[in-house]
Amino acid sequence: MTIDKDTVEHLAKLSRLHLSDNELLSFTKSINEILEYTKSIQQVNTEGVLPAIHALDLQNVFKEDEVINYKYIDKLFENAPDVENHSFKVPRILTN
Amino acid sequence: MNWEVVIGLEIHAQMATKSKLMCNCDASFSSEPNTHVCPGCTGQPGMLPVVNKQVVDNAIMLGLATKCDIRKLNEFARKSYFYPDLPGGYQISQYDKPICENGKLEIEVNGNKRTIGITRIHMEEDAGKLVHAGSDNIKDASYSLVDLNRASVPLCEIVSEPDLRSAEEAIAYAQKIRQIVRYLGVCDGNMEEGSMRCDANVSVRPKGQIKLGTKAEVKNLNSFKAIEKAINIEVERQIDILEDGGEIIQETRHYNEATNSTKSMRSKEDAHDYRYFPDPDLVPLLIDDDWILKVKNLLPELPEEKKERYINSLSLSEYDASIITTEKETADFFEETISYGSKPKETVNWIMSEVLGTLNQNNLKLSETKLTPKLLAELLILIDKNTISGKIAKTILPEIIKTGKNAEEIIKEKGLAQVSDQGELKKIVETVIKENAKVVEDIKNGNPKARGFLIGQIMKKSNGKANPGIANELLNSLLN
Amino acid sequence: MNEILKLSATEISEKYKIKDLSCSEVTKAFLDRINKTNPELNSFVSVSEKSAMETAKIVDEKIAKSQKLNLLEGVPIALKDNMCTNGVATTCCSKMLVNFVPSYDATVVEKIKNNNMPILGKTNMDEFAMGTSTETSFFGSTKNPWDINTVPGGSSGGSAVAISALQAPLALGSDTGGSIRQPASFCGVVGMKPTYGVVSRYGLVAFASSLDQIGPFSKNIKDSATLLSVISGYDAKDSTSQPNIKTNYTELSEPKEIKIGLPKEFFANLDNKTKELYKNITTKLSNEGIIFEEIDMPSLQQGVQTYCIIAPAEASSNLARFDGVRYGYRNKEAKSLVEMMELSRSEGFGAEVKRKILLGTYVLSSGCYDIYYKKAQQVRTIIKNDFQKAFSKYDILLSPTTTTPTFAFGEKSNPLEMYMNDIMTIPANLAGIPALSLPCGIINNLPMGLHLMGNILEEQKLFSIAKKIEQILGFNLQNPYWEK
Repeated sequence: MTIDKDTVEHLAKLSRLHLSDNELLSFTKSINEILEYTKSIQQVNTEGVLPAIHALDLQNVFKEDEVINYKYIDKLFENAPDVENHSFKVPRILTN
Repeated sequence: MNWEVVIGLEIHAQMATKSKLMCNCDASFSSEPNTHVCPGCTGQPGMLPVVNKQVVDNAIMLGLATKCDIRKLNEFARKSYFYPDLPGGYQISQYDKPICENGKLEIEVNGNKRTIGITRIHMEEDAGKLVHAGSDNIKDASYSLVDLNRASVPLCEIVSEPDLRSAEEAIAYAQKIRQIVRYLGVCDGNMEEGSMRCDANVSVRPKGQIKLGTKAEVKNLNSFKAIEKAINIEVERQIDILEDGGEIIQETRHYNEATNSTKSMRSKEDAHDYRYFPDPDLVPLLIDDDWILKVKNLLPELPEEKKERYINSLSLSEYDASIITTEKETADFFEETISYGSKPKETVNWIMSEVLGTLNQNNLKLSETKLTPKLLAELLILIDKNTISGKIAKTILPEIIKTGKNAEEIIKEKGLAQVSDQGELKKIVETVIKENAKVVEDIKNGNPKARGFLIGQIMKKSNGKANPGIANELLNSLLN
Repeated sequence: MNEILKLSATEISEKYKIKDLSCSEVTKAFLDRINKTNPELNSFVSVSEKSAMETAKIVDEKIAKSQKLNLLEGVPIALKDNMCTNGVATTCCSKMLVNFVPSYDATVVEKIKNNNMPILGKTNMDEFAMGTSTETSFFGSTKNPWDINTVPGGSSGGSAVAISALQAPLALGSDTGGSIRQPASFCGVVGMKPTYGVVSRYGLVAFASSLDQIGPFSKNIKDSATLLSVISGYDAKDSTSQPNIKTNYTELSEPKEIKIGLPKEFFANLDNKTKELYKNITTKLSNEGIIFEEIDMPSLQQGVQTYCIIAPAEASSNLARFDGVRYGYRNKEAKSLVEMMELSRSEGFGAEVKRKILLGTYVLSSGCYDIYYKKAQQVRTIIKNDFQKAFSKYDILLSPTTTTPTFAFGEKSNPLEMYMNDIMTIPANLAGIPALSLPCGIINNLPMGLHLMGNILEEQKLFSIAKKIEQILGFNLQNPYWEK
């Protein structure tokens, strides 16, 4: 076992997922299986090898500093679950 | 126990570019929520970021101005956490490959010069804003409203080494940074409006100890005053705890200006695992020497250089050179004014006291008035030529500021020219002597103050226009 | 059976040219077919009858005026439901986006629209493109026309079936680890993934940013190359888009000497039936002068492992935007913000998506980053380099697309097993090279695909060789569903 139930529970918290007890067990099992399977890459000699973030070697891609106003802001709001005062409304944010 | 205070400042400077860092929305402030937004900065499905080149140029400028090493191969990284003002669930920032490193800044406090190290400068997106309804703080609000106008506005985060040793030094450093970003034109440095934000990492240690004490991060510092007060109160808090035998917890604390105290927000340790990794939607940034040179050539003269130049070639005192170069706008105005022939020292005095004084009273900025360097120069030259007295000039200035008319025009309109004509003045002096016989007696009896009274009367009779020097001479000769 | 449905895209274009068929006729034929067959196959999640016919009308006006039509102009097409279409629901077949209507078009959609290609509808897929069987779709699974008790493959199952069941002459899918090529193989059609960066990802709902690519589904190679010509090209809105590329792949040459490498690792664990099929194929092709050579590429054995780390990592980050705040599913009973986000995401996402998010979060977390994510990216570099070495000796590389033909619903439910369906196709995504699947044979009355891989930006060569092979093999696309 690479990771235990508690770790998976912590991961769920970090990624804002709420897992049932069954899900916790099931995910812990399947994730461990996959992690176990990936262990073989540790045997590959990667000394001096740079990590590949991309398949291709592009660099320095930019845009100019110019303003282009989006004309359909109201359409963006049509998908919003709860709106007030042209803002996205969310339930209260609890603090410690 | 002798305690040493150790402070590091993290300053977020909002870049004054036209558009945002990763999309083409207007980056300027808008009071109407969600009016400067688009699918990109609201994190809609399928959207992709593209880097605003101006932000990179600004960061390089900032690095050059603070003598940093500019990194050749740069990356943007995703910093992940969930919060409603962060539309993608991650902030595009820089992690282990920041654009500038190992810089320094010189500050001066009470005549002592110190060099403060700058660990790094990196580029990142700003988050949106939350308005908490039903209350002005999160705790009691029943819901919150998300405004993403500010999302993806470009920021440069400037992190200092923990080299500051007092609240005064911290303020001097912050003010220096503010001056530089304003000089460069990359940020307007307005702490009250939030375009420049400051967090302080504060710790204490017994004097002589090398190891750093546990630090607390203090947030919500909205002015230089707040920086000073917050640091001092936090230092007090930490010393109290340590002297009682307790331990400092590494955490984030929120400064409350009203109560002048800091309160724990969250523990810096366990809250966040930001899971930084290079953003796969963006490609690396390669900054070569050519690029750096191009930006270097665009650098304006920095405050220190300008100050030195004014001392050396304009013979201004250290003090005068210092105050006139505090703001680039003022220094530029000053230089243009003397280019029309006014004398440097007088120009400095006039700008710093009369001009800025009048502007402050009316809540105006230099650029918002009709006063031009040429108009000011003309006024100062008239004083120098004795066409008007300094006193009269002071009364004309507000009119010039308001109407943009030149001094000569106003003097003509109001008949304010200084009277230097011997004949005309002689008549006035003779009249005053005649009307104040008793005072003349007093003078003859050796009362020096009485003489001043007569001068006063001469100024009054001439509506303030008498040339004081000549009036004095005439009075002397006519009394004797 | 309306004969129009059997036409290839190129044939339809020809018919328009000589005014033998009208665009409205063609579009209606396919819309009727979808109407008739979708209840059973469930390959389309939404159909845009009205707008498709409106587009057809525009094309017919052009034809009537004898105006020259662009490449594939007027040929109807189906789009996988993870490509944003302005004003039309784009759901990624997830409860999370069931009612999401974008106010913008993906770049490929813009190109399709500018080319007046009637959009028939959006096709079914594994939720958020995560899967290899289309079984994880919120709208239920899609059936394979070759045997309706089997899966079409995934994640672009709906698009593959649309071609295979003659519901559309062309379709677009997306490929992150094989999501175009594997369903193409299972459904007996042509599916192609271009070089990374050749087709813009703007408006494609991201799964794994450094691996995702949009590509064509079609009946033959010529159509595939032609459709790619329409959708490819530099896009300033996508920072990973390839600049200065040639985008016309329609001039397919007759390649002279073809030298093909056979990576030993891909032929190692095949069962006898499969081994025999591919042996026969390479023999047949050798007889036509194509040279085959075995090649050792040991890093390919780490392909799935590397993918299992990189894809979930990027996905966990790309899916963080689905938090119930600005769009998408929200649990409205939640009393606090954190509760709202947790419940919205937990109720909105299916199991496979959640698993990927958890796994991805793990491999990026502090303490794990170096040994998992960074290590995987280093192995990825090695895989890239191995392909470069191979292409210095060979024109293309070849393997089966999948180790077996398709399987029954529910037969493969183990998550790791599902990843293994992509064992041949994954390395091409890791290396960013173009690759396609060409139907090449039958095992147990089910189709198998030939997987061809080319070097970076060598689409032209890949298509040319593929066309020659297609010609030699002469595979008959017809499946039992053509009778329906």
